[in-house]
Amino acid sequence: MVQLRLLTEYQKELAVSYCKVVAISTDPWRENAALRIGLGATFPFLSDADRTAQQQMGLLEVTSRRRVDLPRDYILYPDLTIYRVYNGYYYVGRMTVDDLRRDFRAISAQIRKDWDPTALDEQEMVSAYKEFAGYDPFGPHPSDPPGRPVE
Amino acid sequence: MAKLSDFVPGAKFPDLALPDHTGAVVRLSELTAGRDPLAVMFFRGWY
Repeated sequence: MVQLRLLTEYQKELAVSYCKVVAISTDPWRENAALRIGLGATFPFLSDADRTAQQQMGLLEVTSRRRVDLPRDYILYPDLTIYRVYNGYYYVGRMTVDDLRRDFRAISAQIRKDWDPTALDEQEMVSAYKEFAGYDPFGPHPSDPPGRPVE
Repeated sequence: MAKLSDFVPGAKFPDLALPDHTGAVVRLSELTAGRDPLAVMFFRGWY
């Protein structure tokens, strides 16, 4: 539970990082929901109650009578390619908030074209912005009401 | 069936579809939307 509490504290940073976290357990979804509310977590919790992921990945914790998933953390690129794996059987092996910051920073530096604005010219920056945000920074903003003239 | 040792850096993670905290089935690819990195944390559960 310590790791989940620390991730819950980290979620304020997560909200402005363009990165995501998801927690998965074999508990039924209603138990996950209660735990999530109790923690005050805003990231999603998924339920592997029917052991789909466990069977698909070989995640069975063999010393558990409850057939839970092995504690394990995976850092993924947006296309779900694995960047890093943390074996969390011992708590000390689990992903920390510092690990997460470091890994998300490294991936973002690889995938965000405008990660370093000094490496691009003005045209390239505007183009990268359009691609990421989905609109022209000098055109109408998506939140503008229809018909309002651009000032 | 895949082994745990198959899921290493550079390999593809399965696009799991599981019920979220509201009971709605969610795919991991919906969470990343193809543009954001994702940390997947498996924990032992509440007990």
